[in-house]
Amino acid sequence: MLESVNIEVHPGELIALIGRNGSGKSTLLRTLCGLQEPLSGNVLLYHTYIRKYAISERARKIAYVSTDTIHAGHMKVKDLVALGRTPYTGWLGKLSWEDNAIVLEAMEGVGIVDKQHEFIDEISDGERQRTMIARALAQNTELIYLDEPTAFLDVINRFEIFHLLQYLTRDKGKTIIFSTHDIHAALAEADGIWLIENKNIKYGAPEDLILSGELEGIFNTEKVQFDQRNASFTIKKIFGDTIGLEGDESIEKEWTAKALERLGYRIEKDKDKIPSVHVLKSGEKTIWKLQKKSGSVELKNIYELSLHLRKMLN
Amino acid sequence: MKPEWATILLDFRLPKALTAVIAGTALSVSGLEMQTYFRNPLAGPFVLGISAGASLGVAILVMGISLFTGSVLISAGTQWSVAIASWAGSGLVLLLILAVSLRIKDNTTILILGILFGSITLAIVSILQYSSSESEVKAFIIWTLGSLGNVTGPQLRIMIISVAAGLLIALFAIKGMNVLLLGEQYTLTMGINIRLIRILIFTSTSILAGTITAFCGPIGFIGIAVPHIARIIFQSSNHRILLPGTLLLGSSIMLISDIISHLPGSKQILPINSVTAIIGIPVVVWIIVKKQRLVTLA
Repeated sequence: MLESVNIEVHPGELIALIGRNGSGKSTLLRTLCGLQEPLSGNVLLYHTYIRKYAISERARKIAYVSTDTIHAGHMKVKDLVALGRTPYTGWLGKLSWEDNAIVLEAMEGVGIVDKQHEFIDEISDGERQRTMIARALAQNTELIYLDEPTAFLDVINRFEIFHLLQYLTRDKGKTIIFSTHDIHAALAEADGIWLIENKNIKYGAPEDLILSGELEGIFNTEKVQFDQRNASFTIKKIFGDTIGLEGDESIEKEWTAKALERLGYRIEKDKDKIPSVHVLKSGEKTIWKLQKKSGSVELKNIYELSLHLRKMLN
Repeated sequence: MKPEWATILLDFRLPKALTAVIAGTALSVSGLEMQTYFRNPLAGPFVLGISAGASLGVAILVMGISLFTGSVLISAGTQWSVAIASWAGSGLVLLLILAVSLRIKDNTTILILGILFGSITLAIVSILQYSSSESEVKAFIIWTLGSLGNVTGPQLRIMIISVAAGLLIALFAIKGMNVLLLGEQYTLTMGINIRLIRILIFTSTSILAGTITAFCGPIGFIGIAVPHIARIIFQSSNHRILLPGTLLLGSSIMLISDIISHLPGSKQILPINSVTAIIGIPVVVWIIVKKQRLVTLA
């Protein structure tokens, strides 16, 4: 699926794998795990081909967190994390005193200790994802691969997972490669980005890829544009009318500008422009004064302003 | 004690109770293995057609060599061949289901296919019956009702040896089964040899379910229901707890079913299948109602 990928990963790095849907992120991760034969080329781990390792040996080097949701009846959080010790336990899978200590440490690492006796189908999605990460930690590997660990999570949970991954690389010395669609957060938090595009991988620090314009190239489409300065995405605006915007520099004025753009106006710097919006601040209160050809109206908030403007457009 | 009492107790009641214990153990442990392997709470030897496969094996053997004379279970020398025929039959159905499950990941589809495989094997059994005499057919129908009472000394010995072997194999699959609960991808990345575990589970299930089906007829619902009761009672998904728990519960529930089938105070004996159905079906209904959707079961 991918052509000529030749990248090295360094210990302690947090690598985000990004690319459009169907670009081959999951396939690449599974290949890196040794779960499937590389379609061409090789994956080397410590200078040895990954498929050459015995599966038991591989399990002590790489842990994997998939996108599958686990539905095991009556499985407790601690039981699931304890399964991470599988490569180290005997034929019955019984945990030693030391194994138990590692399991506890893994649960502490992701902050799930207080939930350890709850059933996994009764905890929240964010807690379940952290449990899955704890299981990978208990596997005690240097490398951890995660396939879309932030999918299905709300924004707070997403940032908590990112924070956790960062902590694991910086403080615990793990090397982590994860795929994500959360590009904004990935660019802000990861040490390196692997960008999959058209069967090719671009890689580098997030800032390098932004500066070189690689990201813009991939993510600019007819309808969506990538903002190089903020590393964020917006729907491309089709501007119609122009409007003036006046007032002292303030956060209120900035957000008014955003609202006007959303409504399809291009803002003009011309002082005498009509129509125009004047953001007036007096103490705690802000008033939006809309100057029209037919006169002016004072509005209490941006929503009222937008109602007026929309009426004007029609 | 009167000598006839001793005869009743030692020659009839004791073997029957022992048969119940062995059958209950074997069927419920094979159900647990299937539910874990297919990650499907409605899996079991009966539902997946494994019992039907065993019936087919026995029918081909028995009717094929036309030794089907009045009693299904024939002379002591051929008892082992009956057992082996049933293992081959159940193993064959299991392999078919496995082949399909590697391509189709959907739980419901696999269950439906299991039921279809079961039906087709039973259809073949019926065709075999068509060319058999009336008494053979009658004996076969009685056998399909399931009975714990037809097992005699040599058969019991074969059952004990086979079931012990099946359980021993299951013991070696415990660690793998715990990991299998997370699915195949996790199993592979956690250093478990999935091929070996698959062979262990399938061999064990074929032997356990096949043996019981050969000697007691197809007994339903114990295989599905008991593992769930064990999960509820022991509040665990760990097979180190679930396997012995299921074994214990399976044997006790089968013993109780046997006692109920004797209808204390009456001379009538109910078919064991009716009793296990009355005990097992409410559990199955409860699972379906509780989980609502088949896809998320397990």
